[in-house]
Amino acid sequence: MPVIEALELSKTYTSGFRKHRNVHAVSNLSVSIESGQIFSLLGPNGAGKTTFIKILLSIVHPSQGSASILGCAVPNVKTRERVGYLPENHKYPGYFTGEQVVRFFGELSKVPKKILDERIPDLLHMVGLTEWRSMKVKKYSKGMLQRVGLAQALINDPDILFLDEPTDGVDPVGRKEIREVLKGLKYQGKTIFLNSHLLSEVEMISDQVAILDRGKLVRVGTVEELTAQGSSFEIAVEGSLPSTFIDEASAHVLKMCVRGQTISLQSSTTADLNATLDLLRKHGVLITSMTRVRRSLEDSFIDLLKQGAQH
Amino acid sequence: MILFALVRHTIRELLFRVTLLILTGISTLIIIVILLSISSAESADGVAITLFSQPIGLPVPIDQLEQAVHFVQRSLTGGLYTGIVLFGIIATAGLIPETMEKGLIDIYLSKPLARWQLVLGRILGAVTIIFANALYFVGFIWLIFGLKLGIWNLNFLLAPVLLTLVFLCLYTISVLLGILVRNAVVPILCVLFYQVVVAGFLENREYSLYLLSENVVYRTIVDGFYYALPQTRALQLSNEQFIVHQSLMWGPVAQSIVVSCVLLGACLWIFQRKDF
Ligand SMILES: Nc1ncnc2c1ncn2[C@@H]1O[C@H](COP(=O)(O)OP(=O)(O)O)[C@@H](O)[C@H]1O
Ligand SMILES: [Mg+2]
Repeated sequence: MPVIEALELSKTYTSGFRKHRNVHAVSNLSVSIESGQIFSLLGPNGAGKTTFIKILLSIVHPSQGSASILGCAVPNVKTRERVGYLPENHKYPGYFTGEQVVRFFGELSKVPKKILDERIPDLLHMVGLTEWRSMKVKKYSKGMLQRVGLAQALINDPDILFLDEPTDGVDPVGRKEIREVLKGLKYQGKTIFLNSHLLSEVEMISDQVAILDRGKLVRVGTVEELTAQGSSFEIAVEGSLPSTFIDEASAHVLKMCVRGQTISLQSSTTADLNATLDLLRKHGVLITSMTRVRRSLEDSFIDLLKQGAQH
Repeated sequence: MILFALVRHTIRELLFRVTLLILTGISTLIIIVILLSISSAESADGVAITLFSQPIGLPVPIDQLEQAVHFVQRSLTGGLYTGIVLFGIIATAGLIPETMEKGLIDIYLSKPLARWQLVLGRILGAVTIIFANALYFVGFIWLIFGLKLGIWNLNFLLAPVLLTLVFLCLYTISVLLGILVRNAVVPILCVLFYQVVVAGFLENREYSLYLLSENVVYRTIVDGFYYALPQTRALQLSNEQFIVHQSLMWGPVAQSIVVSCVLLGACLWIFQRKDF
C-alpha cells in the first residue's frame, strides 16, 4: 500500500503587485510511494521539490489536485503525529538549547513526557550532539543545526520522514553519519522522502528516485533503471573488423566508436545489443571481453534535463 | 493539551523580554514605595492620605477617606493602562512574526496542531502574561490600602480584567498586522498610533473630529468608525469611573468583546489560508 500518494497536484504561486506574477512551482504531479523505501526527489534549484513536500504537510495549499499520507487525505492534523519533517534552512528560537528544541517539538508532537525523557538522550546520541546538548542553538554551526533538526524530526518515532536537503552544510564525515542513520531508519521500516541535489549521495542510499524539472515529473524509477537507460558497453575483440561493420551495426546502436581492438557502443535495448554481437560473430570476430560502462546518476540526470529543455 | 504547551512556551518566552521586566520592575517599585510610605494623618481639618508623611491632596472629613483612596487608586490605574499598553504591546508584537519566520513555521505546521491553535496559543500566552502583570500590581495596591487604611475597594479588583480586555483588543490588531506584514515594527507603530491618537480623537469626536465639518455624512462616517473600532478609551474611562464607584458602562465592554472576537476571527482565517 502506498504511504504517500499525489494525484495531479499543481501549485501556482501568485505574487507581485495585484498578483500578476505566476510561478508554476508544481504542475500536474502524480506519484505514489511505497512504504519502507528511501525515495529521493531530485531536481535543479527551483524545480518545486520543497513545494511538493510543503503541500504534503499542508504548509502550502495546492492549487489543484489531491494528496494523501498514510491513507488520509491532506490536510489532516492527526496523520502528522506519524510524520517527521526536517525543512531546508530550518531555524529555532535562539534561546533554546539543543535539548530544549527537541523536547519542545516533542511536546508539540504529542509525545508523552515519560517517553520524551527516555528518547531524547538516545536521539541526541544518535545524531552525535550529546556533547552540545546544553549549548544554546544560536551558537550552533550549520552542521550541528542539521543534526538537531534531524533529532527533532525523529522525536515522535515517525513512520514517514521528510528531509529537505538534510546534508546541506554538513561536513563529509557528518554526511556519512547521516547516511548511516537513514539506512538504519529504513531498516526499521520507515519511509524516507528525501529532497536533494547531491546526486552522488542519493545514488548511494535511494531505492526510488524521481526527477523533477520545472514542476514536472520527468522520470521515476530505481537508480538502476535510471542509469541503465541507453547503457554503454565496451567490447574488446580479436581480429580485424570488416570495413562494412560500422554501417551494418548502425541500425542497432545509438552511438558507436571503434578504437583499435575496442568497440565502445551504446544501445537502447538488450535485443539491439545482442544483434550487434551476432553481427560480430557472423564476421568471425572473436569477443574477448565485454563490460558494461555504467553511467552515474548525474549523467542520466543531466541528459534528462537536457531532453526536457529541448521540448 | 497542545494548546497548553503552546501557551506555556509563549509565557516562558515573554518572561525573558526586557520590556516586560521593566514593566514588572516599575510596578514592583511603586508597590514598595506605597507599602513603605502610605499612611493617613488626622488633623483639625479632617484626615489626609500621606506619602512619606507628606499629605497628598487636601484633608477630607473622615467619612470621605474612602473616596480619597478611590481617587488615588483611579490615578494609579491610569498609569497602569499607559504602562501595559506601551510595554505590553512592544513586548508581544514580535510573537507572531517570529513564529512565522521561514524555517521555523515549517516545523510548527508539520506538527499535529491546527493552525488556529498556533495563533491562539500565542495570543492566550500574551494575554495571560498581561493579566498576571495587571493582577500583580492591582492586587498588591488593593491589599496595601486595605491593610493600612482599612479601605477594601472591591471595584478596584475589576481593573485587571478590563485592562486585559483593552489589551486583547489592541493585541488582536497587532496580530492581524503581524500576520500581514510579518514584522513587529509596523504593528507596534500602528497600535500605539491607534491608541494614542485615533482612539482619543474618536472618543472625543464631539470636540475634535466633528468640528472639522458639519456635514451629516461626514459625521456619520466618524460615528461608524467609532462603533466599528475597539473603544479602548471608553473602556478605560469606564474602568476608572467604576473604581470611584460610578456605575460601569457595559456598552464599551460588550463592544470590545465583539470587536476582538471579529479581529481574532480575521487573524485565524487569514493565517489558515496562507502559504508558507
Ligand atoms: N512562497 C512562495 N511564493 C512565490 N513563489 C515561490 C514560493 N515558494 C517557492 N516559490 C517558487 O516556486 C518555485 C519552486 O520552488 P521550490 O519548491 O522551493 O524549489 P526547490 O525546492 O526544488 O528548489 C521557485 O521558482 C520558487 O521561486
Ligand atoms: Mg528546496
